[in-house]
Amino acid sequence: MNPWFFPEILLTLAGVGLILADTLAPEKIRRRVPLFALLGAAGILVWSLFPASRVLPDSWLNLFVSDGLSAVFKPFFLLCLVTVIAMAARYRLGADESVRGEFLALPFFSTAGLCLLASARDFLAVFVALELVSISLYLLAAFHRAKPASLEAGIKLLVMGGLSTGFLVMGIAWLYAGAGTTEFSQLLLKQAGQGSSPAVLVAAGLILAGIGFKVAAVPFHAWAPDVYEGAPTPITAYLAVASKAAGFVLLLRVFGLGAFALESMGTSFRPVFLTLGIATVTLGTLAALTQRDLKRLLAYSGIAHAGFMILALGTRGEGGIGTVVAYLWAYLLASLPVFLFVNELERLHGSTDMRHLDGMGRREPGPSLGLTLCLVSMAGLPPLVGFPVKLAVLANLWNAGETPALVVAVAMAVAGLGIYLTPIRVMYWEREADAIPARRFPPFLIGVMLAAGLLNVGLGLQPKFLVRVAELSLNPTPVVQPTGK
Amino acid sequence: MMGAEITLGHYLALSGLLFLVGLAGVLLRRSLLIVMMSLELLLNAANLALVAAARFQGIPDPQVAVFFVITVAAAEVAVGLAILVAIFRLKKTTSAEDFATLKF
Repeated sequence: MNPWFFPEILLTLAGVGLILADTLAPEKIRRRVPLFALLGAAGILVWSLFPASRVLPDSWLNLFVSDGLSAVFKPFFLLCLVTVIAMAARYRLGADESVRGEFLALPFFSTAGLCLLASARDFLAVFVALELVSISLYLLAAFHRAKPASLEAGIKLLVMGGLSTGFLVMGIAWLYAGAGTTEFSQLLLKQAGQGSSPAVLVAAGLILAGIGFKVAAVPFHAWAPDVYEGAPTPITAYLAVASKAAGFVLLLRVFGLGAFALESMGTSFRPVFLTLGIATVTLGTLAALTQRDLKRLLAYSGIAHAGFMILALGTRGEGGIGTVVAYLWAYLLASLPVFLFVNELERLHGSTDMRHLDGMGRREPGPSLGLTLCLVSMAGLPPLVGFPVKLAVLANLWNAGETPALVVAVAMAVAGLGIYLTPIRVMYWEREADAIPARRFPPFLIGVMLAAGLLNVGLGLQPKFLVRVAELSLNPTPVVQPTGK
Repeated sequence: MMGAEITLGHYLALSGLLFLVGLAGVLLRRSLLIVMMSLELLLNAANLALVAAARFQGIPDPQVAVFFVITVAAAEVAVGLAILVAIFRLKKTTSAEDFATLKF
């Protein structure tokens, strides 16, 4: 297999190509850069679905692995990239319009980092991949330079990201000091022989804190609402879906499959995960209930969803891993369309306040219906796709006998209905604002939102796709052996 | 031989102390420049632990890791300072107290 065709390398080349096209190409081609970016991202997404793109050369195998988990998440990250590029091409940069090309190119580098992260099996590789993701994101969050909120989001993300890096590197140093290696399978072997030494436990705690920032788990969540609100909306979507998922892929690989996956380690970290999960889901849900800005609301809702996934991780075992994978896909399918909608709403109204939704059900029936379906899916009501995955989390907690966590999770799942039903209520039952904008949503949004809504319904009624994805993620090879369906 | 020998534990304790100083700086200081210096201190605390681990474990890998960390820290600071310059142009200040566009 020719190594030039792995998604990571294609992404890097595409990013470099876009920057070159934006600076060197004549004006006629420059205007087409958004189109090129979208086509490039979509092309790499399609390519990543082919098994040939997932086999890695032997010389990489000490740092990177190609297995089911990476095969499930590379398309995940690329799907995020396609959506984010589509949003970024339509996002109004105002006075910063001249740098649109870079705004479209940087997500490619960040996604290359995410794809590497999905394959990393050594903490050094994890560190480099994670920094490739983060440093591109600091720039992207601060990209709208004329807007103070965007700069503030950028610097907050940078400080919090730097703190997370500090914890991660310190954890790596303790791993070297305690075990002499950072390769996942060797770490597993060492601990299997002599048990986890205190130094390795400290390292695992530091690394968990570092990842905690990435997934915005309480108490490392404080940056999320501010950064989500201030960053340009396409980047908010990227942070909320792709960057958060990256944290979970890392948690799955480190605490679920390798490195710290031993039973003894699991026993010591189980209360930690459950406590983190309970705190995260409670704070996320309760704070989201009072939000009036849609981006802030989605930020807290993302924290709540992260809480559910951490709870599922806390129950350990293969059931927990599969549940998190399925939950992430369901979260992607429900929340990316919502972000797409918010991006168009901001384009039309200049802000993302919920009052712009007042009476929208009558004015824009198509997008409103699609948005409603996606929000209901996020709330986790049947028959939408958010329901089976949330049920799976609760079933995991039930099977593990974690009654307190189960009670909190059920209570928050119910309280969480209020978060998502508020926007729906104002769309259909609120009087329209006096000043209705003359401009309407573009026709493509109607199609996209309705298609997304239908996809959520379809997968909710027939969750076989998610089950297959969850099974594939546990596979040691990137391709499922054909079984009699 | 006088006194106790310096062990890996001593280095780890020192690096832990440096880490705490950096952490306090990030969380407590209001000037963004000092916050970024504290972030560097966090990474350098880790670098010290890495080099000590390399010496006492007798493996070269952590020393290689130090180069990775230094490179990444440089990239992070380059981006951070660029954002700080943009903030200063807009607001004429780099103190975290002076901008509260977003509630904290």
